Amino acid sequence: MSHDFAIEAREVRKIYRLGQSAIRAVDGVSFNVGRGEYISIMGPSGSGKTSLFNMIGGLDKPNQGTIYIDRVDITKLDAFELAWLRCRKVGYIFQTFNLIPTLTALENTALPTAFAGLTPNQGEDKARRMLESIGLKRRIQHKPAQLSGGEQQRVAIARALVNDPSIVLADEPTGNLDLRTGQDVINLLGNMNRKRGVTVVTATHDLKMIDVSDRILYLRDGKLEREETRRSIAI
Amino acid sequence: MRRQRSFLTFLSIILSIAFFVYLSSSVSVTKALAGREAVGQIHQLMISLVSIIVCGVAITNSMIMSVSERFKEIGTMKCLGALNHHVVLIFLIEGFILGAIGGTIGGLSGSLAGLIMGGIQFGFEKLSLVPLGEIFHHAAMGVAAALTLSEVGSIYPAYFAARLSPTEALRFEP
Repeated sequence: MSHDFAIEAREVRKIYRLGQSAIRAVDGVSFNVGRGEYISIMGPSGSGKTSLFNMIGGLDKPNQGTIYIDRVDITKLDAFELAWLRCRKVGYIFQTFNLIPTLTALENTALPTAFAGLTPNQGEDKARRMLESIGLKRRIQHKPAQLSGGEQQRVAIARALVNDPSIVLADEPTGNLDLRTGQDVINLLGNMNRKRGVTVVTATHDLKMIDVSDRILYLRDGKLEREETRRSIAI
Repeated sequence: MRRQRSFLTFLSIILSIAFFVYLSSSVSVTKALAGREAVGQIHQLMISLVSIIVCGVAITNSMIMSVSERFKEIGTMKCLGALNHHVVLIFLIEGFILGAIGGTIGGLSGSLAGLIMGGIQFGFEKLSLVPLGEIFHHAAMGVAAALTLSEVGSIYPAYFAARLSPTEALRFEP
């Protein structure tokens, strides 16, 4: 195992059993992601993107294979250690934003800091700075229902970054947004990747994501079909 | 929907605790003003016990509903690093708040109703003879019962919510 990668996946397999049949959601996928790299995983629905994503993020375990996050084999971690990993090493961005509707933008952003053991004041200070840095200073006391889709996704990005993770996993981050706000979110993720040096992995259908990605991995039927760099596909 | 559900739970706590405290306060008021035990005292206590059991079932049912309508939130929180005890704590705190506020309002209104009914029955001028310490004790018992019921009623749903894996919680569609 090399020690220069943020993520290293080796022959990862995930098989779901439905009655008598076995569905190979991820079938022997291997790839590396360098520190500070921006990777997009593309593929049609049912290609295994989400299953692979869940395993990289420590939400699910593979049936076979290993996944290293910052040199740690996360397939061997117990539930407590995986929660620690999700809290401090990995930030999540969901397609449907998944903000808590009863909390304000500030409280939503500060939520992971409570799980990390920060005091409410420390957490809110950090969340406030994070929201200000992405241009939501005037919206911090608004609840999700009072925010537009783009603003909600920006709050979700602030929440994903508030514990200073080394990796951000974004599952279809522009899937519920219109073209313009989708582009804003892509630009914001690209900026965060460059300025903060965060490794970003997105699962996406959105071709605009290619503009900011260093590499694109194409999945089909649970297998890694091909891999391209941005330079190789630039016209 | 969540507000309506919380409001109904809150209301059931208030009503059952008020009823429980009203019955026990009436016993004290009758004893102090009429100088005798209230008629059917055991019967009244049985009724108040049933009201408490109904209250407990209503709280448990409400907390189970609360868990099922928040599967996605629980999954999100677990993705963000919440441990099982964080999730348990959320539901226990919710149960505590419902029990504390509902129990206080129910305890106060139940004891007040006991005093008013005593006043109507025996004359309001005699109410000064009622030992207020005893009435306060009944109200405090009502608050304690509400807190105990709401915490006990929250334990199973909280434990169930905490054991959910993040992926199964996120997949759940209400």
